[in-house]
Amino acid sequence: MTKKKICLLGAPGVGKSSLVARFVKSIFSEKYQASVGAKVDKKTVQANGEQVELVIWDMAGDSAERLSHSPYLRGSAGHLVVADGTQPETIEEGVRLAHEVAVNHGDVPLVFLVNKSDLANLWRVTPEAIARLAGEKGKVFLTSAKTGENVEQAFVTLAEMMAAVAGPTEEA
Amino acid sequence: MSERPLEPERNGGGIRNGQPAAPPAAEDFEALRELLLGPEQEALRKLADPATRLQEISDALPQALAKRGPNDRLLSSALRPTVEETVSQSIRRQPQYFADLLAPVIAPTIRRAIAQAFESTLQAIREMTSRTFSVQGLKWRLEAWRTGVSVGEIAMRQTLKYRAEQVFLIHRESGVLLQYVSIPGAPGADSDMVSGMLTAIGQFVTDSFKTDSGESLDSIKVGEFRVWMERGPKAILAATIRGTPPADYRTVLQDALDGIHALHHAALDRFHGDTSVFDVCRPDLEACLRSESSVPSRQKLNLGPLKWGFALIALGYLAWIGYALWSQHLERGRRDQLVKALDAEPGIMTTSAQLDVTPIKIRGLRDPLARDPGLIARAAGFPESAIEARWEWFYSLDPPLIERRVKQELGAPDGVKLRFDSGTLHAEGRAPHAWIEIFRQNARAVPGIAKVDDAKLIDLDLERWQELSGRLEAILIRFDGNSEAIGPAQREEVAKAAAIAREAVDVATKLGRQTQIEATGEMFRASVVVLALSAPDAPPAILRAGPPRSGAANTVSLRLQLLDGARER
Repeated sequence: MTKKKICLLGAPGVGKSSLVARFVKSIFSEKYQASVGAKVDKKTVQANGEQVELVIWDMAGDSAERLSHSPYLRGSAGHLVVADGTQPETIEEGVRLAHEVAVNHGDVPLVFLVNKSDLANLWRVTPEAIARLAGEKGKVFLTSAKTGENVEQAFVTLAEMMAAVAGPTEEA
Repeated sequence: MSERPLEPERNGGGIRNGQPAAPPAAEDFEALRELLLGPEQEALRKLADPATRLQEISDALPQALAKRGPNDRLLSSALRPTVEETVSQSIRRQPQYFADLLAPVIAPTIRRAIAQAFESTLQAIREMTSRTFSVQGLKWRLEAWRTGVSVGEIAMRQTLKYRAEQVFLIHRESGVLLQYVSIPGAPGADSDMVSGMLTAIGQFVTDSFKTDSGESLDSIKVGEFRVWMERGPKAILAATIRGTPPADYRTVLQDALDGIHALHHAALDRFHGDTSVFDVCRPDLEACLRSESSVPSRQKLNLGPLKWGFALIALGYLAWIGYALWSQHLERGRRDQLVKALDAEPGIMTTSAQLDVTPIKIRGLRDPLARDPGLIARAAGFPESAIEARWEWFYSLDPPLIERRVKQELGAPDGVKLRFDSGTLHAEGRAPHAWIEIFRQNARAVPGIAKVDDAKLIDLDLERWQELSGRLEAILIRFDGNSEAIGPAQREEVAKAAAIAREAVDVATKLGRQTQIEATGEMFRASVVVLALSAPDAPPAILRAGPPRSGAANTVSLRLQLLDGARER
């Protein structure tokens, strides 16, 4: 079986740990607990007809500058950059983060997640900002760790992107 | 090369006009050879030219070697002696240069090996010292005593008991688990997550403490579990171990990891998530699933005589303390007994005693007639030097002492028993009249005697006098017919009576009394008897003739009487 290390990155409080909990254990809690360091989890998904085991490193939220230099990113085959739909500044931070990480750790598949889509009345991110994200290298998903919306799809998409990258390399 | 026309005439090799031509000149042949073989000769010249050959070989050699490939054993074998000799000479000529060159490569390895050796030694020492004087150590000793096995064997058996339960081969960069083996029933979380977290923790520690390159987290301890990690350039080998592994178990992990790196370097380098290529590493990992419970060699078991020395000294000290306490207890008991013995002795009374010092200090009262306290102490086993006694004199009213004092003061004739009871001195037996008199007068003066009981005291002298009186009264002096003189028939009786009378007088004197002898009968005859008794050698008694008793006219009888008052001679 293929195993891939992926990292969840983003500003503090955007819902990275909740997304992992939803994806791996299908649970959600309103209670906020700040993460420290990195927490490793795993889940097997189907990508391009092949089983891929995702080893998910849920990293503590931090600034783009610090995250991009984190030793935890070493060997990561793909990144999930998470932003918060109720905090527009996290989108900007996410874009910066994607750039910095690409510079420091190489260009690996990346997926943007704009989380908390269930909080419609608090939603403050404009479609333009999301369109701008889509213009970056990577795909964009509006997700909700609470309802589970697009969570599975986001992870599976990243797995497929990684498989697509790894495939030709191995053949070569 | 120039083209020259054929000139037979000049060459002389042809036939001209049917006649043999002149032999061709040598230069013609030369020209011909040149003409025919020029290019080949030129090539041969080039081959023979060392400079040209060298140039060509130098051009061809790298390509030739490359073509033979790295797996060509023949080439390797051919080159090896030369290369070895060359390297050897170079090192001999420039050792410092090579040392400088190799230092960065081998120094970390050497450092690590030395640190490892030190750690092994220290750990062994730590294990030993932590167990030597602990409760566990005592348990082992108890077990050793019970089973007859040496305590060292038990200690090391326990010390070396460990079990490596899980071994993880981890991709160093990503933390992805490449291969995993465990013993059946090994506890713990999902191996992939453990692998990731171990990597994360290692990176966290390295990042947080900014350690020098090459230094990293290599051990985690949780309760009875340890995680030992060995890091290679591309992979990490981690083992979870229950118990305390010997330090050389790390070498086992190192060797396994080195082997994996050597064999699968390329696969590790190219790793993109396909872990199946590392299935072949399972045997290497399984070789690390070791456990240790065998009895190690005796040499290792020597825990050192020092500890036993300490134990013996401690034991001896305890025994000595115990003996001292016991002796002290016994000695104290002996001293208490001495004081009791002194107090029990009539005429001795202790008032204070200091028994916890040497010599013992005793103060008290002592009757002059009491036994010597020194004798009592010696009888109890205390020499004179062991006691410092101070006695004050006093009169004891103890009955034995009073009896003793009476005997000392009054003396007591044989046959007299003195007994003191409740303030009364009882006297019993026969005694001369004189002693009885002294006794009666002085007994009460003895301290402690309130009353004297002499009812059972018999006066020997009085008894004798009464006996004499009886004997005298038994004598009858008979006169025949009308005779009134003392004839031969009466003289014998008179002499007998006189002897009795003399003794009676003496006894009465002892009694302090006077004796009166009365002769009764016919008046004249009675007077004759009195006269006969009062001869010059007769006793100084009061003689008196009395009237005759009825029916005894011919006889004179005698009677003794005691009169008050001493007779004056």
